[in-house]
Amino acid sequence: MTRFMLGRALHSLVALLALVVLVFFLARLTGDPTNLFLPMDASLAERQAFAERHGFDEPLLVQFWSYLVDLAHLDFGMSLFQARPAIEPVLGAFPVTLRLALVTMVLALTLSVVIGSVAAYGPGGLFDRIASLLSILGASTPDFWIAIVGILFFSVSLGILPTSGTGTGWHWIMPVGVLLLRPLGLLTQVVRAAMIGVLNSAYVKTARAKGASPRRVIFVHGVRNAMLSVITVAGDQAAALINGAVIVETVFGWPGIGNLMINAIKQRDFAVLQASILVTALAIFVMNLLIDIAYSRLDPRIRAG
Amino acid sequence: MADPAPAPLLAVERLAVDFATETGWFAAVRGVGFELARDESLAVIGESGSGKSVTAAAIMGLLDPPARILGDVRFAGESLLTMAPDRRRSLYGRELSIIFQDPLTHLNPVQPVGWQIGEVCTIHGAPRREARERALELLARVGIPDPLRRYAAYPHEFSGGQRQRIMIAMAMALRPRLLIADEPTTALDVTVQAQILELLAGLREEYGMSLLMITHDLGVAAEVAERVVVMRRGEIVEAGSLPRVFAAPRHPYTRELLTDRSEEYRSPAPAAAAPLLAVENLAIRYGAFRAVRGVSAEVGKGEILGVIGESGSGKSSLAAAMLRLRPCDGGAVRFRGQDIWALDGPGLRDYRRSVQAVFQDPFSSLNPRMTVERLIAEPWVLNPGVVPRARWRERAAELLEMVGLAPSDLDRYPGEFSGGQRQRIAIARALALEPEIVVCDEAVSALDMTIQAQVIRLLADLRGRLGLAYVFIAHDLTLVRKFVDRVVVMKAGEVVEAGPAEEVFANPRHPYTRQLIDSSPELGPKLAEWRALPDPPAPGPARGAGGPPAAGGG
Repeated sequence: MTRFMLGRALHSLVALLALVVLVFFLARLTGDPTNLFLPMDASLAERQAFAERHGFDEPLLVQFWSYLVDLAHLDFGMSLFQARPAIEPVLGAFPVTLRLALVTMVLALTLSVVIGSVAAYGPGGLFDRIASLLSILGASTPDFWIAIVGILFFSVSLGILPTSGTGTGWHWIMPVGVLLLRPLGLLTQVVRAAMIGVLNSAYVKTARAKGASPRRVIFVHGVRNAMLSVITVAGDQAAALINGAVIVETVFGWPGIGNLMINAIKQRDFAVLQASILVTALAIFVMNLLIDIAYSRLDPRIRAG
Repeated sequence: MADPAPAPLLAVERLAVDFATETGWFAAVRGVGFELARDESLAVIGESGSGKSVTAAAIMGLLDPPARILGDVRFAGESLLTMAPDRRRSLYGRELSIIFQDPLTHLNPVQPVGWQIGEVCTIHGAPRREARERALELLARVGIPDPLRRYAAYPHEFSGGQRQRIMIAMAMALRPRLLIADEPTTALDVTVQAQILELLAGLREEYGMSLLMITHDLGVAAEVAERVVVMRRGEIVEAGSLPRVFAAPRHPYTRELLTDRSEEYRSPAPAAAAPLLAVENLAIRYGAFRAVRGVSAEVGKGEILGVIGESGSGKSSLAAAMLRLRPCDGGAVRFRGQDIWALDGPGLRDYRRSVQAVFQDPFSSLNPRMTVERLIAEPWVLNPGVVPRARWRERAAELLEMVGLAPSDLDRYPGEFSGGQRQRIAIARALALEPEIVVCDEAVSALDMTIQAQVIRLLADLRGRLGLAYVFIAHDLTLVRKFVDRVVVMKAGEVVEAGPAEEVFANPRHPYTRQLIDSSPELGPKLAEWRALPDPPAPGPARGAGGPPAAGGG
């Protein structure tokens, strides 16, 4: 078990390194920060000085090497715009996103398990059909569109929800609602399919022959077995949530990591962009590890192997 | 006896079960009725598709809509089909319980077995502590060693036999009055089967419970039951006391079932000649596991060699080595004296042509996307010159007729045939190259008894006509002893006994062979005893001078 986890961590490390390479060079493809940062009429000497101060005059490979060396010392570089270490705004914004993602994920999982299970108990019934239709709709509606429609309807027309920002509970409703749609739709489908499989399984027959009630069959014997296939998809969805946050945070002005990333790209603030991507990636790797652990806790057959 | 009889423990009345299919209702059970008294043991026998397991599922309330149930099932006088769901659930697991054929899939893979046994008690209102104690007690009673430690183990950590013991413990948890056992030993080796049947008999006596044994195996039925119900295509064709039905069957189908058990297929073995295929001191390893260790055996022209042993004894590895499907890790396989791994070019082609195979599973060993004609003709594509292209269809039709199928079947796909028919196709394909030896690896094990008998009859007939030799690998001793000339008994990768079949079966020298023979539920001696009973109940209301033909059978 420990060996398995160490192996997974090692894999993650390799992937993380690859990501560092990718992000560093891709960011450089977006253009020269000197042009953006300095006023249009800045002199050549000023440009030269700026480039030298930030090391932009060095060959790309040398820049990359010094970036790696700094990274090894947990130095993510300085933000071009904020005159403070790049990691600071990232660490400030990340928990804001994490909270949003966590609330969404908990809601998505709870709701999908309940809706999917009930739908699976009577496949083809009225509840199942409505749930299936809605979950397909939810999984396939573009989030940016629903976000804008949401603002138009609830904020502009009805005026009952704030358009953007944070602060009150009201501010949570639309971002969470929009972010929730896709994982809830997908997970409901997965839970339903997994639960139908489980309810047709031989051990459920045994449970029924023991005199177990339908509720017991679903929630004691069904859910844990069904979760085995759900949890893999849930992990993917949780990762996708953090990505989805880029759009939702931009639309709703939510001061999270997605918002920070977009601004960093607009401003060519490489250090902040790199730091935020690395932190996000790290979070996703940690989550995958947690999912592996959860999987092995749920399924004793994995634990043995 | 003359008292107003109390309601029987279980009464199945005109039970009919229909399943919805795309083409309408399929009647799986039609008008089945029987009773089971307290303390009684009843066997329901029949082949696959006879509706016996569906009947069990209907009794246990395991059939859901769109299945349609008509008639009634009464437990101690109360109708199980119409009572309130709460009341019904309070009976299941407590008053009537069931065990199934495949204990691995019937146990929840993610819960400890002890918890699963105790759950029966908690469902019916026992506190957790008590449930745990009872589970521990039961684990010990059904013979799981070290119950305290094994309580927390999961189903995959047990052997097949132990899993069935766990299922039994679960079914026994609240001392039910009726146990339904649906093919409980079919997936198990004979020695394990014997242990499980013994355990069931012991528990029955201890708890004074009734048993409804559902089985296709007449030997198992004879071992445990006092009365028997014979089902076929959803209907009961015959019922009565087991000795009476087995000794003097009235229905032609019952008679067919019983003859299949007693028929002899053996024909005189050919005079000894130089061995065609010989295995010398063969060793096969999978990693550190030694599957076959130092096995030697040989088959001569027209000879039938039986290889018997339980799962894991290495018999299928032996078959793979004979077929050159797996390299030897030691020793050699010789075809006409030549090491098969040293063969190449024409020699290898000759070997491949001469040694053919029929495998256990006729469902996966035939490519579902090929027509029967292509399946049979494929060997000719790979071995040009055996049959000229222009004659393929004609020859394929001949082969089909030889195995008892119609030439019109050539254009059909394997999916359109039953298990027995598919095995006939597999045999036709094996015969396409006019081989000298056919290796049959559990070739009839997946088939129903009457079908098994038909296929064996076919194999015996083909030997007579074509002078074929067989290596016949099986775990069912009843079949092997009636069919093979010589036999090799394998255990844990080694040959423990070998010799002429009659001699080995009549006088087993090795204790393991004796154990195998003793474990295998054998009808023969019992049948003889029952048939010798002074006056078996008359088969009809009036018994004429000539007597019905069934009475004289035997």
